[in-house]
Amino acid sequence: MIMGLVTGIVQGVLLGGAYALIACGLSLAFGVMRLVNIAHGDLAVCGAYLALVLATGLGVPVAVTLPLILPIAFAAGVLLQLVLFQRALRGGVLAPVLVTFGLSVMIQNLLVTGASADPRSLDGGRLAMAGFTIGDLTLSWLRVIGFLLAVAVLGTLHLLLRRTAFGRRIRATADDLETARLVGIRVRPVFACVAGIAVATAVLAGVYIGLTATFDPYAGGLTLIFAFEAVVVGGLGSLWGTLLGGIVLGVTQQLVGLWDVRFAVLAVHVLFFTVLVVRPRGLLS
Amino acid sequence: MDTIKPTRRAFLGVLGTAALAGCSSGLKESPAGTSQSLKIGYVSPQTGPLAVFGESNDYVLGKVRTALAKGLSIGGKTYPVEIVTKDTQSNAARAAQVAAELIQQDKVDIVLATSTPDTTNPVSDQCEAAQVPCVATICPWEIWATGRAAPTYSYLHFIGTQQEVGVFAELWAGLGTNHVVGGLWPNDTDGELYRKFVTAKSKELGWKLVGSGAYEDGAQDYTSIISAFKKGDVEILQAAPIPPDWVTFWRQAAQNRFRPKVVSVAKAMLFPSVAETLGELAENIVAPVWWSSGFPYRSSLDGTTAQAFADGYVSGTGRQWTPPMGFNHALFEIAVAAFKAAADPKDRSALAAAIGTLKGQAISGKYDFTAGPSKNVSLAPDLLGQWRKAGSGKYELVIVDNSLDPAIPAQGEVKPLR
Repeated sequence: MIMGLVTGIVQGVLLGGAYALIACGLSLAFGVMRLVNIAHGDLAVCGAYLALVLATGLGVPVAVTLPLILPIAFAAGVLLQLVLFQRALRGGVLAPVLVTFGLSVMIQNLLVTGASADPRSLDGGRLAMAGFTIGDLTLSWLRVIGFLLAVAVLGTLHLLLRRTAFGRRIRATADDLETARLVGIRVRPVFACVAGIAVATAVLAGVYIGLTATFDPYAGGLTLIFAFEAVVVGGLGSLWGTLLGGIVLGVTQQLVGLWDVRFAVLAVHVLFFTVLVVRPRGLLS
Repeated sequence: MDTIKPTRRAFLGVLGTAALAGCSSGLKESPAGTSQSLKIGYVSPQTGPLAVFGESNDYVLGKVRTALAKGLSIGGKTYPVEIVTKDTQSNAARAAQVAAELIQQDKVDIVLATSTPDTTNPVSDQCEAAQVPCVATICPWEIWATGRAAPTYSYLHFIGTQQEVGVFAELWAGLGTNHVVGGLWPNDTDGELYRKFVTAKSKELGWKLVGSGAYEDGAQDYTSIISAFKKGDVEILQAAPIPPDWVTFWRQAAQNRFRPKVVSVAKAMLFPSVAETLGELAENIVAPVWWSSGFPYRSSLDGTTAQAFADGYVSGTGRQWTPPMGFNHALFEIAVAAFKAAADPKDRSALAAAIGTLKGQAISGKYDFTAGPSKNVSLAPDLLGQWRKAGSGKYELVIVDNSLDPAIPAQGEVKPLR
């Protein structure tokens, strides 16, 4: 019984790391630009497809393709911001939601046309299949790597925001856009960079999802729901809150799953709902 | 207002043109509708999550159209045959809608529906309501027959889940295990059905059962289920998940070092694409075989063997053959047999009654609508296969159990996973 609980909690924390990895780009984009990107999950799925194409095309392991994919993703994010999100953000609260929703539908349909609806997966080699044992606890290396990756990404973003001049400009813009403009911050490149970083993290998460599970052109929607819930539970726009939110969701899912797996996913949604009602600002905010 | 006016005008213009076009096409079509051609409507998922079922459609339809190019001569009269295809977009509501279109606009003589309850059931219901003959396939007969009024116009030719569970159990009994069965069954129709029949079967055998609980389709994390299976010392795994979930589960099982002695997977392991995705992990997974290129049967339309039929697809598209090909082709064979058996192929109730008298052989094997387990059902035999890496480097389903139709040659021996 005790062992079961420990297993559940440890697995839950690791699972939460994966949720946070997907969610951090969403959290960043919302925190800085007030942009709710509905296409975030679909962009992640695009990343997984890109990794699949490059890895099979070049005949290299998936990890090797990352240095190629991440700059592409950053550029795509910058481009999306300049062409699409920037205009949408000027159109009020609802416009970005509608625009990114449209983008999501477009990405899904383009992927179906280009890659068929077959579920795909990325081959992570030996490591992706390996596990290790501590006492009675069996853990998967991939899950541990996912958690560490989430902490690393969030840590880097934290340092970037808190310790650099660029981060100061981002925070100033996030706090008060008009004042930031008045004191001479050029908002456009700041936003473009943030969008680039957000899409790059989404793509990184997409590659990770491709290694742990399967993806198909419609996988983005489900991915988005969990990411979105992690952001809201943790606190809108708070980066460490997103990690905490992911962990809370993961542990809830695992512990309820131990009791009855039927309610595991439902419990996550109920928790999300409860947080929205009781503490709409989230846990850390 | 100035900017709105032209749009409104343009909109009305488009509307008018569309209405005119609609009228004229109606005028053109009506004489064709009453002419003596035979129209077959074919409903299948071609896009969306179930698209893999319909991926061989173009090839199957091409073969059928070639075979029927000269029309059908029935009672000294030659009828040209026309096939109208519709895509369900993997959606049950859309399936019902396109079936209604086939009946009302295309005025088809018979509707064929294939692939998953989301297609077969709504289409069959539409046909019952409109009193149009319908033949469906690729849906376990229990799902098709239960919860609906006794069918008159709709028929189904496919395997059954209870029968399949029986075959699975015999295979498990033949291997040395501790008789603990783990069940991975989601919260959907198929999951419920396997839960019901495997639970009954293991009770009958006195075996222990560890159920997963009805998890939701699309779940990303299976560690709690895997822990339960490990704790219960499960050596036999029976699963009925959707394909992406199975890949996720089986990978997580490998990561968490859960390796039963035998794994039988319904539904998810039908397609070679899933085996390719799993790679080495697919080796020796047991899956049901309802059609394979190794079947010793021929098309009743042009005599093509199952092997030649599958080879033609492989060489034409470069993809591996899939099980739905055989049953989708068989639908057209059954439709043609019904046209020939009916007193008047243009008489809908005569045609529907004729299907009920059919007993014959198609590229998928024998069918018999006169003695099914339920009204208007023809039960197909269910064989078992194991996925193995072939010399070509691709994974192929090797038939290891042919107890329900010994006419089909077995291609190998059952091997445990460990």
